[in-house]
Amino acid sequence: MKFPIRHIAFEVTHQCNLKCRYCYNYWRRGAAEPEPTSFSRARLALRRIHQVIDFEHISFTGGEPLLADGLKELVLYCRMKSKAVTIISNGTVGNREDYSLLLDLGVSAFEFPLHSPTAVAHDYLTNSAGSFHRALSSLRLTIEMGAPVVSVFVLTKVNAALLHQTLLFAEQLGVRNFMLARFNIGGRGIGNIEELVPSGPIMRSAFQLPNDFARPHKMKITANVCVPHCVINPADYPELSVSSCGPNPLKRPVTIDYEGNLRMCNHSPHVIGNIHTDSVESMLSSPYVKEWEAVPATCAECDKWARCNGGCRAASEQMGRSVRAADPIVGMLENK
Amino acid sequence: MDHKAVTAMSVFFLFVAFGVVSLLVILTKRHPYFVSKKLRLGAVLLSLTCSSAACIGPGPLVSCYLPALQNQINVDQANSETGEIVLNRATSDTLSGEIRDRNGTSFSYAVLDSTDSLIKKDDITALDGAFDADSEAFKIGLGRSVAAGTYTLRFYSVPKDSIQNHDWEDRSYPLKIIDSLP
Repeated sequence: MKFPIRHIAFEVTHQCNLKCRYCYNYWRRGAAEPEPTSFSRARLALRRIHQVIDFEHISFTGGEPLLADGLKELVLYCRMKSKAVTIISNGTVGNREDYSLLLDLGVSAFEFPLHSPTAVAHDYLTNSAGSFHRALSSLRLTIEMGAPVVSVFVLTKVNAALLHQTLLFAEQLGVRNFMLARFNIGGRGIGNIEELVPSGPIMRSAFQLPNDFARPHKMKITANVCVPHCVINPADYPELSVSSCGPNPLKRPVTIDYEGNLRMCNHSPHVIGNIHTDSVESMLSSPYVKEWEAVPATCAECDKWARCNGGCRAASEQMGRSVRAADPIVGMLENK
Repeated sequence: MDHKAVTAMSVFFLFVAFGVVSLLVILTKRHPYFVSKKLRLGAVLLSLTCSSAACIGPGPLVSCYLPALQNQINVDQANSETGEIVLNRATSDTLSGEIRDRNGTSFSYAVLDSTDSLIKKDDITALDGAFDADSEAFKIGLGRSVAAGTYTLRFYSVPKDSIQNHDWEDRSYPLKIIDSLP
């Protein structure tokens, strides 16, 4: 019997052509370059996913998925199995032909970054000159093709002041879905915490801005990175869809890489097991997964716990702490 | 020959061609020419079969971190800060709410006590009779079958009889039932 998980994040490759300062990929913390992905291993993992998991939707992510050998064949395989497919890309690799074919194959959404209205801040954050113009080109191409597109703004201290201009710029481009992703500590980003983590007041005003912008500009704005409610209280931003993260794997982007390694989400560095050798049910009922239900000591007395769940506990893992600890941003923003 | 028959025949021949090209892809160890043909044929097949088979529409937007919100089950009586629901049956024994970004067609709820023992479970019906719109309002009457006390109210996007197969709820609220007059 297949195990029901609605959404799967599939890391089709660990390779990426950018060196983003905020990158959360746990394998990007060091200087070592990930090995190239083999198509056969990715296909094998994808077949196994279809054999053991009853899912509706799959996001191809990475690394940069468009660098993966045979991405389109893997997408075709999923679409032939009637799965909805999303591509999460940095927007610097694909061209018109790629997007056109992916759209013909029925990709239901593309996500591309847009961290500022001009190249300076965007390229600084991605640590790659020219990335802004290439991402912009991908946004324009896909919008022109009528593809559902989400532009992603990673909120950091560096670009927080540019959010309003970025929203206006995105609107001009024709973006209807805008994702505000606050910088979440992890991966290479751990080395840039001081530079990237905005203060509490900056975070709150950065959430207020799109909250006021969304309705008059008819833009759907979501804040998909969960936030500790003592830092950002979603009730204060009713026009934004602010996600929260809990221990329920059915509501999480359970992540599987091209080797078949399964994790609670793409931010968590902890490999629970492998779909080629372990049963999904046993992995998701393991003592480790149960640990996600624990109430962190700092949250024990908090009346917001039921909805907040301590923010991103995977970020705590990335910092070398236990998943039982609250989001590390809680301590950093205390008294700020 | 009517349009339907032409489509069916086209799909049949495309499937045959797709099978042949797929075989050639394997035999040539993924020669780019045959891979390209396979992708093109696959795209045409998908576009043709989507109208007649179980084609799924635009999927949910999934972020780097969390699936975009689906089946967001909100209860009007829940405290916006704490999420707690206080149901005073001296006033009313009914809870109301809304399911936003709905993609399920069956919903249910369960009331559990502090030891996670099931006290009551039931299906939820849409106020307008069917779960077919993006947002659907609902009401649930807890009645008198549950004693006053402190519970957890869990919502599921499956029928009540399937709850045992789904250990994880879609939404849960702390629930306090009281019977005191104002």
